[in-house]
Amino acid sequence: METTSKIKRIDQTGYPLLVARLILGIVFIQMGWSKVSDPIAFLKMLREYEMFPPSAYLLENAIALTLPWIEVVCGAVLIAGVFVRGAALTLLIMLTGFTIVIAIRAIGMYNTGEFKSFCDVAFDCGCGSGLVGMCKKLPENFGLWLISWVPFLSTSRRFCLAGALGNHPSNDAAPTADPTKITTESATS
Amino acid sequence: MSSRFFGADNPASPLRVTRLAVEVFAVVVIGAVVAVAANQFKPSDSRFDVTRDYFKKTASTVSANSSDDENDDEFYQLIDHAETMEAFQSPAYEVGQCIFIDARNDTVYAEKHIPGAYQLDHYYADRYLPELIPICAEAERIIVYCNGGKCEDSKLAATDLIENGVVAEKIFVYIGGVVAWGKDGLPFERGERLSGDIIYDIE
Repeated sequence: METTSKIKRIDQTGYPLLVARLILGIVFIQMGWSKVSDPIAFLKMLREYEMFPPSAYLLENAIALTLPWIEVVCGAVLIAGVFVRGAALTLLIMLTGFTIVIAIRAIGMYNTGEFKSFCDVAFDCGCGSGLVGMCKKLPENFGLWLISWVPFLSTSRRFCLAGALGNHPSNDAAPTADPTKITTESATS
Repeated sequence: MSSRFFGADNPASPLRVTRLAVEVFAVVVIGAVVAVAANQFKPSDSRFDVTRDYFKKTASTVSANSSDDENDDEFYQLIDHAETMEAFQSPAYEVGQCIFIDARNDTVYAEKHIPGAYQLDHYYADRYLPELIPICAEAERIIVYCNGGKCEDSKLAATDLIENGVVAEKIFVYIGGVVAWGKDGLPFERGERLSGDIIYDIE
């Protein structure tokens, strides 16, 4: 109970959310932007994963064209502070999918016996960061995945455009804007 | 108490779940709309065509004696490094009867290409084919290459040529590509075709 109210109090300051939004926003705008200018290069990388049969080229093309822009939009709305939970859930879904397919491909490459250790496995995952070692990429993705839970779970909308406009989900529950009131509330409950 | 657990503050309440679904939908739709709009604003020859099968290699190729798409080397006439080097040093190359075609994109072509090589980026083939087809019609031997290794752009470019009426028997795919060429200390040209700016790979 003590821990929960402490976490809530910290959350209501808005700073954890702000930091998470800025990290995710900057990373995803950078990653998405590096791919939007060359959908062909991204399409080629997507093909390397062999996720779809050749007959599903329409789906692959659609992903290659739209996914980088969805990343950019997610990053932009997170920084702006609108659709925060929706953008966070979108990132959670994407990061889960990306991490699984990257791990499967990395394990497949490691199993070929060409690499001395798993950390030697490196390839351009199509993430927008170029050639990258798996011992860097997988923890990095896991870290971003963990950070994405902050905007998804946070009820604070301090420093958010949605908060300033008074249009956010936490308003449905009429939360207390003043962090100190949380302390009082939790103390009485 | 019940409103605390079942009201709007509950993350699983129908109101919040619906709002969340709407937000996810909005983010995805905005992303997709911006992507389509940004693509439409590009010049027509640089546009990404969602309806095109960019990796179709086997429509009408050299020796269609296999239906195994995995082993597509059977569809193309391959040429090894020694033969390619020989072709480069032959009098036919000097007079334009043997030509090289670089199937890579603009950026890497400008960095280095086999001296005198034309460019045919398969993914934006319409930019190059009008100029290239008459040249290919005159040539007796056409050697297409890309980066080397697993790169398949040379085969895709070869397919473009065949589908545009170039005689398949004249087209050869140099599998070693730029990597094998550079490793052997052979010259590259930097910039535009016939720029005269010759460079060598230094390992």
